[in-house]
Amino acid sequence: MTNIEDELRALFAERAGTMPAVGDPAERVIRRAAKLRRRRETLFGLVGVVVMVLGGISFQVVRGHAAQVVTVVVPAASAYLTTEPAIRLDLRVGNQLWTTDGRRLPLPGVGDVTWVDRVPAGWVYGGTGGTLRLLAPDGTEVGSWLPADAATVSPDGEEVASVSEASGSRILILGRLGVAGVDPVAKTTIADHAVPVAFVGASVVLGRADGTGRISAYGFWNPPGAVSPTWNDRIADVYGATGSRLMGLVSQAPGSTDGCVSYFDLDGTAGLRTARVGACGFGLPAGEPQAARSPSGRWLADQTGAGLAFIDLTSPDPSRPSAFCAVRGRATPVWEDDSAVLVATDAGLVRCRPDGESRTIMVTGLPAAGWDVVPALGR
Amino acid sequence: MSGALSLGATQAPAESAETEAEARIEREFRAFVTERSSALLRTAYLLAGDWATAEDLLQISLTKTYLAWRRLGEIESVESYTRRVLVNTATSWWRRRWHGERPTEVLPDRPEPDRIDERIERDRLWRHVSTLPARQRAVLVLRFYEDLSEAETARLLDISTGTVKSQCARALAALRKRLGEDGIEPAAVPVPVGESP
Repeated sequence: MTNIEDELRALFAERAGTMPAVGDPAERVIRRAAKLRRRRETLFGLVGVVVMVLGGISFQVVRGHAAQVVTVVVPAASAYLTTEPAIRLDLRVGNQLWTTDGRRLPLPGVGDVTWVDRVPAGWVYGGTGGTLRLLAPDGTEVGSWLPADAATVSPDGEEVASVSEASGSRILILGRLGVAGVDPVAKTTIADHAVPVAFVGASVVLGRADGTGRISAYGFWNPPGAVSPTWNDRIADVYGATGSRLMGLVSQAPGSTDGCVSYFDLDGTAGLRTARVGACGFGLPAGEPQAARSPSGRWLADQTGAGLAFIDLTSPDPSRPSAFCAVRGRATPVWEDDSAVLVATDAGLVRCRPDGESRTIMVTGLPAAGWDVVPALGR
Repeated sequence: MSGALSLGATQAPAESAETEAEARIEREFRAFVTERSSALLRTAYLLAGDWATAEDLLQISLTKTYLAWRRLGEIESVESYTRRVLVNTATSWWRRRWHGERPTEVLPDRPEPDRIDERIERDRLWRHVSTLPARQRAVLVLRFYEDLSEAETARLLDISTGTVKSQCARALAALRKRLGEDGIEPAAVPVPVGESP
């Protein structure tokens, strides 16, 4: 029997053993100490000036000193300097989150951060360390976490599905995101090399990777049951849910490089069954999917060789893009709302509108690479 | 003219000695931080509950130590001094900033998914530790992580050995009670991977 003292020893050792990689803080401490000393000296100087004022020294002298102090104490200007309306989405810059209200929050504990989503409970994020975590809206680390080689978050930001490998098996986990952290609610094993890619209602859409790591077929899982998907290898991309249906891209014919925007039903026997085929003539993505659907489902922003194409899915001929933005994005564009997408490019952050208008957003201090736009879910 | 020369000649060695002393302290401080900051950060984490706050706590404690070192010219035991500043800053922060339950981060490096249920139970113990009053939590960290004796803990916290004993007993009783309310007997909390039960 283990007593509580031993449990505490084990708990403390385990927790302390999860220390994230941190740089040598000596330089920062020395700089901070120097700054504090200067501030103290300035404060003493100011006190001296006040004493002089009380002693009847000229007002002009006081104003000069006071202005000098204010210059030292007042923090720098806002992080976002733009001629456009301020962006409404956060940015992930390296292992930091740059929030729209000007905070810079660390994203620790997952190795190199590779993705972040804004959710009602804060921010959920993951990285090369094979885990996902939650950060509270006030920037503090929250609750528990999940192992995750790959993950997807539900459109309402309330759930997350992750997959990880352990002892030769791949484990799918469904977790609920709440103020107390990530609460695992269902798990199952899956034989195929599958990753969760989207939610449709209570179901999780899975992509099966081929030998090269590229997703070449799609199926789904109805948690908390076991998973044994019927794979559909005609589906080339998945854009997300519209009601109880999945929307994505299906190849026009086996082996074709052209695709049609389609809706799929989740059929327990047949798997993802094509329900309605819409616009055709789209090139199939060669690598990572680069298209994103607007929140209302009206627009599709598709990264093509000619730039960012906007497709009005409600138009009579949606196969023809209604407008192009001449930008070359590094990642999938992220919709702010139905009126604009934000695109991370090598030249900086660009806002594109479905009418083709584009504006570069100046963000001070943004590095040339290693950053992206954080999607906001459930708002 | 000769007076000015004479003044310069007497000031220069004093300034030089001061600069050398400052350079020595900075050198020794850097070496101390390189060697000990990881261990101090772990303790800070257990006191604070999350890594971001722990890094802030450590930086503030190191800054106070460095400023004191420069002011005093010498500190007998730098690590003990820093550790005392760390614990006292953590408990004063708690009084100032932390009220009520604060869910905190978790996690060993990469657990096996089939041990998630066990991990959730251990998370509960951690959360209950997080809700203890700062002084009780500090006593537990110093006794069961730092492995300090009751007398050493008392010295570091500047309280009596009797107070250490009573704070520790109260903390353990509170944890037992809260785990019991969760339906977890302390013996049922799983042992870490690689340790025998």
